[in-house]
Amino acid sequence: MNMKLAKNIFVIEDDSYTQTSLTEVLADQGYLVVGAKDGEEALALLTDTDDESLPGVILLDLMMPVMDGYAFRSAQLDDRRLAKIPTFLLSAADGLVEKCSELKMDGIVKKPVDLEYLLNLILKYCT
Amino acid sequence: MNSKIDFSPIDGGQPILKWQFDLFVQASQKIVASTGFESVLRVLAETALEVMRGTEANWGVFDHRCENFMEFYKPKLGWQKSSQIFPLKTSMIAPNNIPNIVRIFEFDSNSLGRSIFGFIPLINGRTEPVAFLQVYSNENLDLPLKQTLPVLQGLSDLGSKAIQPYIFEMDSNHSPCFCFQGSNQRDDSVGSNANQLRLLADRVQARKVIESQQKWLETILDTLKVPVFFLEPGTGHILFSNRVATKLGPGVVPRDIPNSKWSSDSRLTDENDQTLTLDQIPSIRAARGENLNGVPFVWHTPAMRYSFLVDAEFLQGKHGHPSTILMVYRDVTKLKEAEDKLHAAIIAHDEFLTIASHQLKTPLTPIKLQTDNLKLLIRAGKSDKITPEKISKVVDLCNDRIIHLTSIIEDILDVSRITRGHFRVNLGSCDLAEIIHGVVDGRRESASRANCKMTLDISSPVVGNFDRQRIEQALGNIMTNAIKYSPGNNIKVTLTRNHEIATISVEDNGVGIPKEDLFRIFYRFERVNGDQRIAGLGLGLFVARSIVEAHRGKIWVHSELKRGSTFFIELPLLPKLVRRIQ
Repeated sequence: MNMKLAKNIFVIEDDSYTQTSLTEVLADQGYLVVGAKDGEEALALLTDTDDESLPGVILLDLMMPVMDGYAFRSAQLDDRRLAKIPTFLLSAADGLVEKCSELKMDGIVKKPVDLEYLLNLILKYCT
Repeated sequence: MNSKIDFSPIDGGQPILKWQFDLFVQASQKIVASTGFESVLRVLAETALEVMRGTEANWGVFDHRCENFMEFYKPKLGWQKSSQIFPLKTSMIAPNNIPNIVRIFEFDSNSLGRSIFGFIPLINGRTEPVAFLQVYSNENLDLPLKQTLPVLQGLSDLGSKAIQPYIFEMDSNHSPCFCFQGSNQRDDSVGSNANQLRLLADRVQARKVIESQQKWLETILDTLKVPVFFLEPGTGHILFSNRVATKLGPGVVPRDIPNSKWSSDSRLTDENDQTLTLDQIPSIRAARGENLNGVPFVWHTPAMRYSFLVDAEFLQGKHGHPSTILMVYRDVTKLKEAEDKLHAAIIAHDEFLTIASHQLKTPLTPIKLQTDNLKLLIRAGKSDKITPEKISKVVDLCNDRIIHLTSIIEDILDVSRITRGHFRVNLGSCDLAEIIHGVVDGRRESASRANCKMTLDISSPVVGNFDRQRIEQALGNIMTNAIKYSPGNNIKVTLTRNHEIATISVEDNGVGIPKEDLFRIFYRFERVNGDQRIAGLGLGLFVARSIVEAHRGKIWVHSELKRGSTFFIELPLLPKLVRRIQ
């Protein structure tokens, strides 16, 4: 797991179709995407990453097996190194605004994702 | 002691003598142990007569059933001459409901030149009252029979219009005992003894009418399915409870003790499960005279909980009836249960809609991302990046997701059809082995994405009458679950045949299902593990069960937490009757 993460986008999402599509589409738009299928895998990847290679933005799904978005976010906030990475809620769930504030997140990306909106958001945080 | 006797005189009468008092105490103590009027009467009579024989006193014990009593005691007492015993039909005093009173009256027979005193202690027996009468003159309390007879005869003459004395001889040395019977002939002269007695008889009659009305009312109240109580104001003693009320809850509603002292294993609470203090208990509030209108409370018994609404009203005493509190319980337990179920159903539906919308949006996400990307590439003049290979890949992905979306929508529609009873299966000859191969092949892509290895154990074709599409759907739902709940594990599908029964099993070594959820999972909107983190509508197994049952088959699961689950589908090869699923 000694993977080097560039200033890129980290997608934590269990739906492999969404994961694949985000990777492909953002690559077309000039970004590098690294993915994890649940919170546990994501934490393991991030913990093994050098400070300079940490992602510029994290997109976090909520409903995932093994370790869900809530648990991941809680662990992330406990880790000073990871806590500062801008993190966005990637979800189709209800009441995202409340969840976003409850989880102290930086914003919301609603499913189905509007690509233009997502690109603007990434642009703002990844430069 | 049920019956109490008050021996103090009223209306300026004479106090009862000590020995008489003792006699009555002795007698009434025996009443408690007795079970009915006749036995009470006998006990009293025997006691009275024993005392009478040993003293100079004279006693008679009568009631409206005196005739029977006479028949019973005649041989015992040596009363052989039936002519000495007048046929009694009703007693003058006896059946009365004036408890705890010693009524003293005086026969002032001037024409006879002497006074006759009588006192009649009235004792409330368990079911009927008992009347005693002793009469003696003011001249000679120990009147020999021969001397007394003319007096009595005179009394009889005097009272012939209203009362009929019955005299019988004990022996020549003792005064006679007698009783009086109310007569139909009336002497209306005010203050006459006869009139007094008639008034008393009228009261007795009136009370009988009330009693009969009361019985009628109680019969009516007993037929009501609503618990009804009459409470004594103040103490809260239950004076009456109808049949439903008496059998209320787990036991019998206690009578004869104040409701504040009811003790039981049960607990009374309000609707929010807060235990009621004594002051808050509806029956105690009612006993205090508070009018209640639909006051709710919950009665928690070891067996179950009952929800009631209580109405209570203070009824003023009228027409000879004492003041009473009428209290009615409205049993709303079933209503409450229905309300709770409805509430749970609404919550389940709300949750379903939330999950459904989430589930529908998830496959839309890759479609939207891919189409947005194409749009942006074209707009940015980067059409060269849209190669035929890329288009083909995007189209495949979109197609795959659209098929998935369609299956979710189909599941929702199926549930609706099943619920409305419009779900049918169309049987045709097909091979289960072939169906299983098809279903497994169709899930290879998603299995490989979940790192699941699928193996098949099918030795030969198993042909029968099935709805091919529906069996594919049922098996597909089980396979989807197996993949979803056991990522990175093995899934084994087996098909066996035993005579006319085919059995398919789908075994995974995934997360498993907690024991308490095993029965639940085949119902609507129930999700394996109730796990919100794993996407799913909670419809797949319900639809699978409905399909299998429509084929007259069975579906069940063996599961162990963290070890995995095995789902079994048992299908008759030739289902004889396919019914509509209700």
